[in-house]
Amino acid sequence: MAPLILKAILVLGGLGFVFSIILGIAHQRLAVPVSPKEKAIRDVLPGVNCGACGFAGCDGFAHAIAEGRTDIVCPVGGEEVMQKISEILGIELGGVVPKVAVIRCKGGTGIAQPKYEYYGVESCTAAKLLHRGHKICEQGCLGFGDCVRVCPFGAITMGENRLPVVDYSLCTGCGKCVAACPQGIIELMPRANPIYVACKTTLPMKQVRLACKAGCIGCGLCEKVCPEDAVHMEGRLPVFDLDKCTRCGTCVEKCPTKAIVIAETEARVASTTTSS
Amino acid sequence: MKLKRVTFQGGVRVPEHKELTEDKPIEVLPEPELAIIPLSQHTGKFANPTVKPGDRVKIGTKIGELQGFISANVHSSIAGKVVKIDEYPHPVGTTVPAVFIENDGSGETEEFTPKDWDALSPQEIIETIKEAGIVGLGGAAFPTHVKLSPPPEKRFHSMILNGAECEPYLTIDYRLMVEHAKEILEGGAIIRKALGAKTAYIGIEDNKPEAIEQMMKLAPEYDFEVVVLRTKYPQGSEKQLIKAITGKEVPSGGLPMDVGVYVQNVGTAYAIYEVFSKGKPLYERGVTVTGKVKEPKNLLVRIGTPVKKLIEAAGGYSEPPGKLIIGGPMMGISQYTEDIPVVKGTTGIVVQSAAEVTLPLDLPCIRCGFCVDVCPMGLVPTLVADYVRVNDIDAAEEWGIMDCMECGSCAYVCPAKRNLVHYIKLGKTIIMKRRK
Repeated sequence: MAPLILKAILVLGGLGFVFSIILGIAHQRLAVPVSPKEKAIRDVLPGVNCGACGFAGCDGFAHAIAEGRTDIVCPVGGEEVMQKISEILGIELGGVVPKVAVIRCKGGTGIAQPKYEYYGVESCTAAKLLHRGHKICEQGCLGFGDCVRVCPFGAITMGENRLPVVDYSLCTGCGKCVAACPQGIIELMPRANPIYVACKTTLPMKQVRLACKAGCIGCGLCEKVCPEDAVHMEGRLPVFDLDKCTRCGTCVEKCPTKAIVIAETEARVASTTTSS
Repeated sequence: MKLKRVTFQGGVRVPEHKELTEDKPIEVLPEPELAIIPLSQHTGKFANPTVKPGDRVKIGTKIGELQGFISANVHSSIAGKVVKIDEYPHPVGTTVPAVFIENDGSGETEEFTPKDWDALSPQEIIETIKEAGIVGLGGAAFPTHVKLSPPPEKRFHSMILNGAECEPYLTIDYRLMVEHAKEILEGGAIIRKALGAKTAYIGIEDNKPEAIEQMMKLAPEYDFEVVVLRTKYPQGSEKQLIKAITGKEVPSGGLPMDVGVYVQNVGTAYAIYEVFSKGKPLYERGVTVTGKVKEPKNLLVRIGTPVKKLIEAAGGYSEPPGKLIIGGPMMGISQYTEDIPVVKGTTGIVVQSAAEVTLPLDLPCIRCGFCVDVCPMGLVPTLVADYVRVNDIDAAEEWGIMDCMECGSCAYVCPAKRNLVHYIKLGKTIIMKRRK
């Protein structure tokens, strides 16, 4: 018995030793040179490989930056990370406007009216295959959480009324949800308290009320009441001038269907400014 | 007479329910007051509208001009005034531009000129078919002139007229074969000339003895061979039909032209016959209205007639409807409104009561393997669906998701009532989007 164990230890140990030597040599001979600059950049990146920068992962981004690209940014790391990269490279890099994802629909269960009963696969893309979704409003949120599943930061959860909720403290604005949403109702907006109309319907105004209680009826009241002239109706829906808007909240209050939303990201913005 | 019956591997036996309408001769449905004619009733690109609101059209006026290689012409089915051109729901579940025509009751038709196909060259035959807007009437609505013009290196040596009609409930092809056997064979002969095919078959399932008898009597005259198929779903699928009749297997990712066989539905053959004998473009088709309606029947319907009119013609619902399906119950698509128009690919309308509707429960797979046994394409549906569910699209592609024809046999037999077909459709959609 004992010799058998001994044999096994010797054989495996011996093999391990030989292979370790081979690997050691291979490591030296076949090593891919990585510039110390690239490594340093890679170390300051968030490392989630989300792909928001347009590269497959953080390695690709670090490589491109080290190669001299200056037109790219890491939207997830934001100002902080870009600042660090600038320090490493010793040059000034373009600033990042931090962004968050906003859901431009308020038509959850009971608010948006159904077109038919859906019993298919629990996926928005699948639901859209059948008569463009199960709600009368064909632009509305389908509520099966394709965005929730795709978020690499766990920032989106499905609310009780089947509308996704974005946790702005976790959202980095990587845009994965934007690409995943078959309805195109998720948008990236500048982080500082974005204001938007939470509706993208193309239904004629008269039909909106029948289709959804929270839909924009296109009355244009927001344009009229705005003291700063920051809201303008463009076609069917209002568009906000984010620079002019003071977030006074007059339009939010006056909107007859309460379709205008100011996303409360203030707390987070304050904390980042104090920390940096 | 004892006949040899051929078939393919896999497939399912489903309750047929054909008795509801198989003895009902095809009736002509009156013209609708308003026809909504989608500009895309075929596989491929939309047709370009050639009319504008306010124009007056006659029956058979071309209202949509094909654009691009895969596309088909669209013709008016009634005489009257074009009211508007607007987006409208389509039976396949999308929204497409449609021409709304208000009937003026005059019933005026364009001048149709019959053509002697015997005197035409294959190219001229194909051109005539293209002009008439003929598409496959078995349901998929693939433009026939495209199918008839394969790339030069491919040759068709045989053709099959598809009279299998394997979908439960539907009987319109059967009625056509019984009532217009001669015309179908003549249409088949036209296709054959266009193709230059040596051998020609007509495949019919053995649950249609009357049609087989009719065809047996007339086929020798046109040099067609009648092949009796075992009744099994999906026997009428192109690839399965080729396998059963010629023994050839279409390679994965390939088309029937890769094995030199051309398949065409009997309804299309009839429509082609009408193009040449009467000069008539495709503006009406046969539709079976069946299931939970008071008087199930077979109707000859103008394209663009709202489904509501067909239900009314069948005496209305006999029970509160649970599901309204356009097409057969296996591959058809449920509708949420009766205002959907009949299009070139509408083979039937099946109404199910709420009690008849089986909802997908999507319970966990119990690894019974039924879906593997029945899959006519030899896939592993449960595995493919699972790959899509966990979003591993590459693995799904590797396991042949694109070979699936969505016949629904797997979902039909699944004891866990999984949404297999829907997962596969989802996976295909994602792959198609990626390829773009």
